[in-house]
Amino acid sequence: MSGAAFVTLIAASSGLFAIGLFGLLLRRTVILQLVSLELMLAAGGFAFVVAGARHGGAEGQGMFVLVLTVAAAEAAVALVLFLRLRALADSADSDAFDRLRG
Amino acid sequence: MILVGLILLPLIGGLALPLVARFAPGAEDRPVRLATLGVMAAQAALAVAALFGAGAGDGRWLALHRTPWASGVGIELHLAGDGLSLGLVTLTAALGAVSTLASWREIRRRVVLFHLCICGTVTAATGVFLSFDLLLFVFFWEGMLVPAFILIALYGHGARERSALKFLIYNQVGGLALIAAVLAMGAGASPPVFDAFALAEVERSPAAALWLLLGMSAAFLVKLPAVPVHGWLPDAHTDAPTAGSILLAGVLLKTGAYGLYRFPPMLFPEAMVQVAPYAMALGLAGILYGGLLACGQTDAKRLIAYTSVSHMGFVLMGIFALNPLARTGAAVEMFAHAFSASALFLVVGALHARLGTHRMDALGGLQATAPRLAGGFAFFAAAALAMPGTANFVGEALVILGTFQVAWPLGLGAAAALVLSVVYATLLLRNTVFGEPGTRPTEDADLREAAAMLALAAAVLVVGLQPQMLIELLTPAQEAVGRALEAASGGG
Amino acid sequence: MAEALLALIPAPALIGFALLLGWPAPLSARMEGRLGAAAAGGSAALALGLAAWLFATGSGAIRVEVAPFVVTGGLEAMLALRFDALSAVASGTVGVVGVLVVLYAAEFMPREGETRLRRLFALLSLFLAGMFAVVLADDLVALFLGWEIVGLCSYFLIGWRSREAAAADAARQAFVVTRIGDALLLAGIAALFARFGTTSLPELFGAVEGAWRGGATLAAGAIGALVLAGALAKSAQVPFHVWLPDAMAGPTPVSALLHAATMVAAGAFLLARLAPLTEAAPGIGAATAWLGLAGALGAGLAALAQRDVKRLLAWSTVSQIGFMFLALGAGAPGAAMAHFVTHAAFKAALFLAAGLVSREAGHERRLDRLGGARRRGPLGFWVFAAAALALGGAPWVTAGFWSKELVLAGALGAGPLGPALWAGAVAASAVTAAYAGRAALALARGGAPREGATDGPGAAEAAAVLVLAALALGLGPAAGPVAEAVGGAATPHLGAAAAGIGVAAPLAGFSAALLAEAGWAPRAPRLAAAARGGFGVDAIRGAVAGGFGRMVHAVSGDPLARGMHALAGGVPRLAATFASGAADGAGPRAPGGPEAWRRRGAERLARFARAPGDDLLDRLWRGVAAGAAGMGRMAGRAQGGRLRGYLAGSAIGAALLLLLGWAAA
Repeated sequence: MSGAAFVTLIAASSGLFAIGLFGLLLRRTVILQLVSLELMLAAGGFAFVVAGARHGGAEGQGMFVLVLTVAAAEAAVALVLFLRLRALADSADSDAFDRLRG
Repeated sequence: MILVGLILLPLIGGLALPLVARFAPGAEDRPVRLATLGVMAAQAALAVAALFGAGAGDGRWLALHRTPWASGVGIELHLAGDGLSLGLVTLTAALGAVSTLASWREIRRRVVLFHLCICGTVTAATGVFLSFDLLLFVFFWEGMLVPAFILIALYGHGARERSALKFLIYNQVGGLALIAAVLAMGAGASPPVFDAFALAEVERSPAAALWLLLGMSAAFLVKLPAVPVHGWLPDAHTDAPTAGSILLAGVLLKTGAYGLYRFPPMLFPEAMVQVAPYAMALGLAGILYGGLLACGQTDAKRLIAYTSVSHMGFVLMGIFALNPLARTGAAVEMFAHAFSASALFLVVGALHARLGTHRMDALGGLQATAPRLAGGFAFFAAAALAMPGTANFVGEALVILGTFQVAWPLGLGAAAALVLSVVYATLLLRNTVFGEPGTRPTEDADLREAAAMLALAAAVLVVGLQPQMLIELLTPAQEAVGRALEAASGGG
Repeated sequence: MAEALLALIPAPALIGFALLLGWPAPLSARMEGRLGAAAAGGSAALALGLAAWLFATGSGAIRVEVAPFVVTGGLEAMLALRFDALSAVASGTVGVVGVLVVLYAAEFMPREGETRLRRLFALLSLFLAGMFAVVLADDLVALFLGWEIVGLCSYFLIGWRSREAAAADAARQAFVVTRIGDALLLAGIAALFARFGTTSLPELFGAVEGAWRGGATLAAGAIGALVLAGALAKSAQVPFHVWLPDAMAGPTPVSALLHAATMVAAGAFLLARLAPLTEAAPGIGAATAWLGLAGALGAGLAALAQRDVKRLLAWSTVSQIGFMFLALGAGAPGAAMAHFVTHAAFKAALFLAAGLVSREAGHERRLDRLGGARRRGPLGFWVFAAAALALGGAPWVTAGFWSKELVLAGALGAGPLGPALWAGAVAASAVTAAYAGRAALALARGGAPREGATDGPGAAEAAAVLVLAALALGLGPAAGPVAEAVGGAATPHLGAAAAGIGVAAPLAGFSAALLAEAGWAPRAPRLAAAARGGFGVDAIRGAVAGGFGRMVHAVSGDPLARGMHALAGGVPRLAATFASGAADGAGPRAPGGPEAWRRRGAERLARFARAPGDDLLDRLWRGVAAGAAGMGRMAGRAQGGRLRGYLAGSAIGAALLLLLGWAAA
């Protein structure tokens, strides 16, 4: 893979990460925060794949599979937590869960 | 050995109190109270015996004791007592007895713990007065805080927890500086040594000596209390139970005074000479500030607390006047204030036990309803205003005379204290002895209270009319300080 | 032998005090009176006996050191007593008047309805012991001991009827004002000790002789001023005169003994005793004389305007002691002491007789309601009249005339300003005669006797007042010898003209009183009102008390707190404007927003200013503690509890770290 393409793709990955980060910070709905989180993880995995393609070898794709697995597990746990929190606080607003303040 | 006995007696006596309560239960926990009285009496007798030569001492000290303890780090059990320290130990034991008598009707629950704390305070104070190994001194110094804290926080009234916490924080911060200084001195030497006499021989740079002096004195100044770090005293004295106030005013304040009297001249005489003018000014500020504030109080106990600040200002000024007359006055004032302030707290405490308040607008007319209490107020207020014939006059007059010899403006300012003291003493009397009695009946002093008042009054009068006896007891300590200071300013 | 007697003089009084205070069993009223009389009588007898011995043998002073008091660090303060002419005169006076007043009180007080008199006689005995200590002391510390004890007893005696607010307040006022003088006196003693290394009077006089004669120094003047201030306060002289009129709230015997005959005259005695010191101090003599004259004239005018008989006598006392100070300042201590003796006699007689007259009139004290005293109670009236004549200085027949002549002679001979002093003193003596006459005539006026006649005076009361009246009339010939014995120098001779004026002045005063009684008095209501109020006593008292109150208030931190509160009013406003511009996501932390902030801040500061008798420095420390708590709360706000906040923080932090790493690389 050529250097220019590599840089472009890494930039794209960073852009995805940034979109995910801002989405996480600016979104108040927990579901959408989880979506943004998935986006950040995907971006990271994308960067791994691109790097792997650059250097040849299967490590990149292997890391991607790892990332995917982690994302899946984390999504499952997160969704359960979200359901519990929503039941407790009757709201899907992330800002409503602030009892650990002070 | 007698010195070790003086420390162990109240300690073991106090720890034995739960056993007394367990195996000799009586109405109103009488056995526990009587046991505490017995311990205090024995302690006083032991101290007097030491004063009269029962301890083994060389010419300078009446009793000495020195055994190694943790020689690897330079800690020994080094105790020494002369007229000043053994006199203060006797005073502590006597006030322990007085406070036990004072709390006979006042303390009804958790009596064992209460008396254990009294014994604990007496033990720690005795240790402070007798220790000459600095780490041991620090141990007892900090040890005084715990039983006093319990006394205020558990048995007091008003905002007692807050006052106890304030007391603790103020004195702990001071203690921190003390510990830092002691460790710097002791661990700094190689091999480490914490014996005060040995540390006195060490050569130090003037800057180091000054910092060490300030660090050590910080704790003493907070305990004394010197203005501006006196803030713990009014709250602690006011909200403490009667016994707590008596021990605080009579004993704990004297530990601070004793520390300032004994250790700076021994360890840092040149630095002491350097800071003397500022310390004297601080003393004068305390005298005037405490006096002025006392004049504006509406609560009898708080008024007496502020008079303590004022009187201890005299002690501070006397110590740092670097003048034999003033020093003697400071030492006499230590005893005089202990007698008079304890007695005033005793009388106010008696009123509080009867009426549930010590606000001055609720008291009054005692001359008509309770003449013995009124007489007590009158006499001890006269002592507080330094009426000639009382010990307080001897102390304050000697300080004024000595201060006039070194710095007459400060002496003139101190004489103003005589006017302030009349204003606040008559304010107290106007609201307690004079005036119309309230609607609630007030019974007069009972036998115990009268006995305690008479004992303290006798002490005030004896020292007031024949001060020479006490002065001769305190002279060796006073002269030793004088010698140390002279060597510093002469040679250095 | 004589030394032993000297040492024992205060003993009977002290023993009486101890017994009266400490006797465990109840005492009958007669026993109380007897003990008091024995205490006073014993000391008086010893003093008079020793005085007789001194006179008979013609020996000089004797001295005895009873016991050491404080010996340390260069100070050798001994309880030393001395008996010379001055001591003899003063202690004799104190003793005689003391015994007579105690005897009177033993009968008078029960008739006033007072039953528990133990404390009264105990305090009177202690007072007499202290007074003897003052007049016999040969060491400044011993003198100061007695001096202060006398002040303490005065406090408890004025406030003896402890339930009365007026008495309690008057007692407090007296103690505070005299203590100001006492503090200055102690400073003077300390300064003397610092300068000369001793507190023993003979040694001091010798040292002063050497060091201060010839050259006047600032130190000498300062020390003299301090001693003078002590004397002025105790004697209720200008500017410390505010306490004496109010001190009349005490019982009549107390007023007679303390505030007429003995305690207030102690200031004059002090100046007489310390004459070698004050004479060597520059300007002090002049100050004493002029202040004395101001007192004599001013207080005399005030007495003239009084409506209450006891207050009149109080102002009269200030005035008469002013005469004594005048003589002392003029360098005639003998004349001052002669007047001390005669004043003690006639003033005590006046007070005691006034007590009788007042009781017979139903406890009335207003002069215009005491008329008819002549018929109600002849004894009281005639004693009062005789003593009033003595007070006014009726020529030749009263002791007061002779002692006043000596004072006038002393004033005339006092250096360049002598004639001015003398003229003022003459005017004052005319005023004295005027008010004395006015008082006596007010009692003599017709007027119906009151209903319910009371019994006449008892035996003891009668005896006391008669003896005092006899002394007031008969001590005249003794004035001269007393003055010579005390003063040492021969009394100066008045020229014929001056002597004549000295006779005319009291006559003029009495005539003025007669004219006023007949209705030909000038009307000057505003001047009279000012004089009645002592020419601004209330104003002085108010200013001093107000100033002191402000000092105490300032130290409590209230003014500072109020100032801070005013300043801090600006802060919530500042915070509110800041808060309105913050990011949306943050949301209002405090419920209600900036309004609530301002309210809570104000509440907190208001709590600051509410505690009475609070402590400025403690408030500052509490402020520090509150600031620490506030910072803690502010730091706590970073823990918003919200996920997004924490994430934002981490993100920004990570970005910064990356930036830093990239910059460093």
